[in-house]
Amino acid sequence: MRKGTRAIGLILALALTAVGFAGCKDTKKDVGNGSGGGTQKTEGQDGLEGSSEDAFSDNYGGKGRFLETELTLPKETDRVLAAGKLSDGSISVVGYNVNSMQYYIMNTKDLGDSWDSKEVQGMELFYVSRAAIAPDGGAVLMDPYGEELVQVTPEGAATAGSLALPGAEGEKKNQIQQAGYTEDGTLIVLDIKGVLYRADAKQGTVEEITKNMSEEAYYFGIAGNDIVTVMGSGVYRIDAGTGEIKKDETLRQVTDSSQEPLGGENSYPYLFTAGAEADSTIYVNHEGLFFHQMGGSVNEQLINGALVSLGDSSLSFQQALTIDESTYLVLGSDSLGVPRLYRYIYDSQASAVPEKQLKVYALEDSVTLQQAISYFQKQNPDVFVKKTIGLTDNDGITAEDALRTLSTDIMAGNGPDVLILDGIPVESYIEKGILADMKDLVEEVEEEDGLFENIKEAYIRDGSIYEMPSRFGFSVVEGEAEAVGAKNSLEAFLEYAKGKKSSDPDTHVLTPMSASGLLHELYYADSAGWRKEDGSLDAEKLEAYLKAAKEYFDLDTYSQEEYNDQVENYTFRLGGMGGAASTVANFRLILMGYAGIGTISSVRDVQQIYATEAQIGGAYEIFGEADNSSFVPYVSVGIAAQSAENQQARAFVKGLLGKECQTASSDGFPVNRAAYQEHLKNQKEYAIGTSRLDGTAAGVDVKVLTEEQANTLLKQLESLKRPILTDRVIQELVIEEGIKCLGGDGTPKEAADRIMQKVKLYLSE
Amino acid sequence: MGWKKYTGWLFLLPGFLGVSVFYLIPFLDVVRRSFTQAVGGKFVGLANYQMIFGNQAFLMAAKNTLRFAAVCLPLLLVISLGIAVLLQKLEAWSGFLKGAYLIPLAIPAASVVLLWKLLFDGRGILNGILTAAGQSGIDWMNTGASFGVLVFSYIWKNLGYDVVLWIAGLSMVPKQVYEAARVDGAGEWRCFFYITLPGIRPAAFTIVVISFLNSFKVFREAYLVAGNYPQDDIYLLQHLFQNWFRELSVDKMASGAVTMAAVIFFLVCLLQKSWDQK
Repeated sequence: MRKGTRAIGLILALALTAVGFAGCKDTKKDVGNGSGGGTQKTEGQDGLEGSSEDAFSDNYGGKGRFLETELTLPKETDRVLAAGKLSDGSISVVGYNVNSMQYYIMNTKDLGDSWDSKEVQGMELFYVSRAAIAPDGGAVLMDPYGEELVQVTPEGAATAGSLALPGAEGEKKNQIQQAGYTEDGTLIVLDIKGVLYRADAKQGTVEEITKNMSEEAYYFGIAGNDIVTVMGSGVYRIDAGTGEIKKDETLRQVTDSSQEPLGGENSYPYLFTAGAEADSTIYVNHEGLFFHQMGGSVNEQLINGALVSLGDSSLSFQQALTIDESTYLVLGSDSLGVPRLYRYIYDSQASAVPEKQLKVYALEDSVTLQQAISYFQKQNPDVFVKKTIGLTDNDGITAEDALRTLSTDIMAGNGPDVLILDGIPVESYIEKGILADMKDLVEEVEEEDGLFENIKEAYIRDGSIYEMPSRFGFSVVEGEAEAVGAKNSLEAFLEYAKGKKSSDPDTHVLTPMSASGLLHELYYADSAGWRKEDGSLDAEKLEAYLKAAKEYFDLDTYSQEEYNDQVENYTFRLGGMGGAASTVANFRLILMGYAGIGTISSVRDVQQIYATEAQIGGAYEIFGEADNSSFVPYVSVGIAAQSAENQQARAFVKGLLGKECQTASSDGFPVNRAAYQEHLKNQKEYAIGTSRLDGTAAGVDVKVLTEEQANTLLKQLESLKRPILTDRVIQELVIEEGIKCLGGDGTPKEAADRIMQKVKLYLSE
Repeated sequence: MGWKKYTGWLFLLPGFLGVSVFYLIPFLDVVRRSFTQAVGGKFVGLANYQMIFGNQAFLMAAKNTLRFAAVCLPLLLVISLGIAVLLQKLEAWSGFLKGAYLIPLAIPAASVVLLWKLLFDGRGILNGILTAAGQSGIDWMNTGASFGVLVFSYIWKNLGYDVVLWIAGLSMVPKQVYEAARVDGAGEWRCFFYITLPGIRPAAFTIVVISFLNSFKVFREAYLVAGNYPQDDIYLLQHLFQNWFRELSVDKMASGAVTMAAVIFFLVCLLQKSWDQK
């Protein structure tokens, strides 16, 4: 009996030990952010979610992957309105050239390697907003209302016509939202109310397809003779001829996890087309390209978005085409509106997932970073870029938590190869030898394309460069001439504003801003000079900043209604680079204030400012001391000294700073001079319309910068000397206390004292 | 027969292995890191210790942490013992009151923080009462008053726990001793000083050590209310360690942690020695 008790005791003790350590097993499998290029089946929506976080290592070693090629569209193509696969297997697109204001139908018989381009003849000039390519090679081009329409035969002859859309409400006309041809040549149109019609372009008649659907359709894709449409409750495949809905629960749930709004003007979070097999559907989103067999319970991921350009969140999708089971085309446009056509061909010899991995870390995601990843991925199909974002909208963790997680990874030897240093304690990282010197790399880019030397110079420490911003902006005073004359300091600017206010107490002198927006903009304008030589913060300058912010905020009392209408609803982009200066100009245009301080971050911003000034006068000048002006760095990059993929990391950074990547977006001025020249070259002219507070219409024509204006801008960019104070901890403390102060909680002096107490503590650590 | 003498060890094994893997071995790694550079692992001797003893933030945090323990511990121990003794006498309500005192322990830190903010904000309930009474409000969290707030919070949260521990200790003193003393004419105070206090001495050691260690947990509330950089008086060692970790200052963090562990170990040994001598 006693032996038995002892034996039980022994077993229990061992079991406890075993159970205690059972949790220690490393179950972490995922190293990568993608499923690899090999096909992978996912169960319903849950499966889909899992597919974007799959194992890099699990698939490692397999063969076969879709490889991406970006096709060059004919040079006259500024916009693509539609694309379609013809019955002879060739591809046609409808393009538009802005300068000649001409429409083209372009055809390729070799999957985009060469194009035949035909100008659409014989049509009256009207604004074409919708178009579709017919399977026989013909096309239809329509104005937004269907009132003006041109039908083009495969031979190129054009016939004018119109479509009689039902459902006009009062004076408000119904509009065509989208158009497409089914495989049997039936024209399908979707109106603004979400109703799908079969249309006869010749007769000008339409017939409603979705009579038995109570929901409105957001948009659709064509799959053979079916329509795949997205509605509020999900995705439905409908027979275009009969209007019969083909029930498929897995397909219906495809959009359930979409974070983006499902409706969109010319751009859709999901694209649908027919698969190569009968009754199959292909859909595309930023996670990749997926195959679904009708009636099946799985969605098969054929292409992992993370490995190709599909993963670029700045890419707007327009149309997907299936050529055969191993070839797909995806049409979209980048953040600058430039059309992009990608071809995906299955390569059975390519490894299923890239054999190497490059880890890139950023606290916050950005268009610039995503473009750099897509660019690098295209150049290096054998390297998988694993992007880790510390702060996402979904998990609610703080920057502090994210940085501590990053510290843990670095200490465990799992740190990233490339770091986007915005918000990261750079000084501490440099001091501890985390970051590698990349001066030679920066100089290579400088030799190839040229860099803004003044920006580069600001980052040289003891002959080394550990950090380099890829983009930047700068603060300006924008407004009437008197305001611009007071550009040298916050105090001078406020003197101007107070003087103006005292002479006309009822007027709004400064353009409106939220407390947080104002504090950020003034921080960008003023903080570069706050650090003393010993590294501490200048308490007097900090107090002066808070005092100025408070006076600025209190000077014009905007009513809550004005504030809600004009400020909250206006797009102030506070986190990233956003061109608050052009917003200042826009406010002036609608008669809300005479001047303001804001950031300029793109050639487009400058175009808009000049457009406003051309109409109502005024000017803009860099804010601050003339010979010591500051810039706002954005997407600063560094390479981990301990990186196991050092060469790949260097190639990535070189790509990020290189011309192509820097040209691709306008999220800040590029540090690359060649890219800056491209930005100047790519300027577009357009019109902005809005209404003033009194209800009258206001609008400006945005023009390409004149040579003189471009030279002025270049001089301004070259005159910037030093970065603003980018220490995240200090910035957060300042903004946090500043908001309290502007809200009436204590004086600027008290707020400055509180900030200084905390900053002293921080700096003494 | 041979197995019998190892049975006790076998039962200790799971716990010991757990403590070793999750605490002792990592701590040994921390000790190692306290003599090396933050990154790269180069041996630097006592440089990290020299660095932290010259670091103003560390000195301030260490001073505040010790000051906090020195103020809170006696207060908590005395108040909780007093309540425990009273509760033991209040037989009718003792069960309910014991439960009531334990409620703060069950309240999540996040809820406590909300309460703190309602009470101690510049425009909070306390200042509202002060203003209504004709007094000027106090900036509770940005002046020296924040230390008092932290002490109050610690005592409020841990009082019930200590009361229960004291009651357990008090129950170990035989009732017959009190009865005999009262027959001999001893009053309440005499009973307390000559019977209760000596009787609970064995339990007191454990309660002091537990309360001391619990005093380090007050950081959670301080952090959630005032963030990484609170008012100087409530800036504790844990704030500093968190911030050092964020900045990847593992060298400073390791030497600071070893120093702190050494001080705690020394104080506990000192306490035990003084207990043993009595």
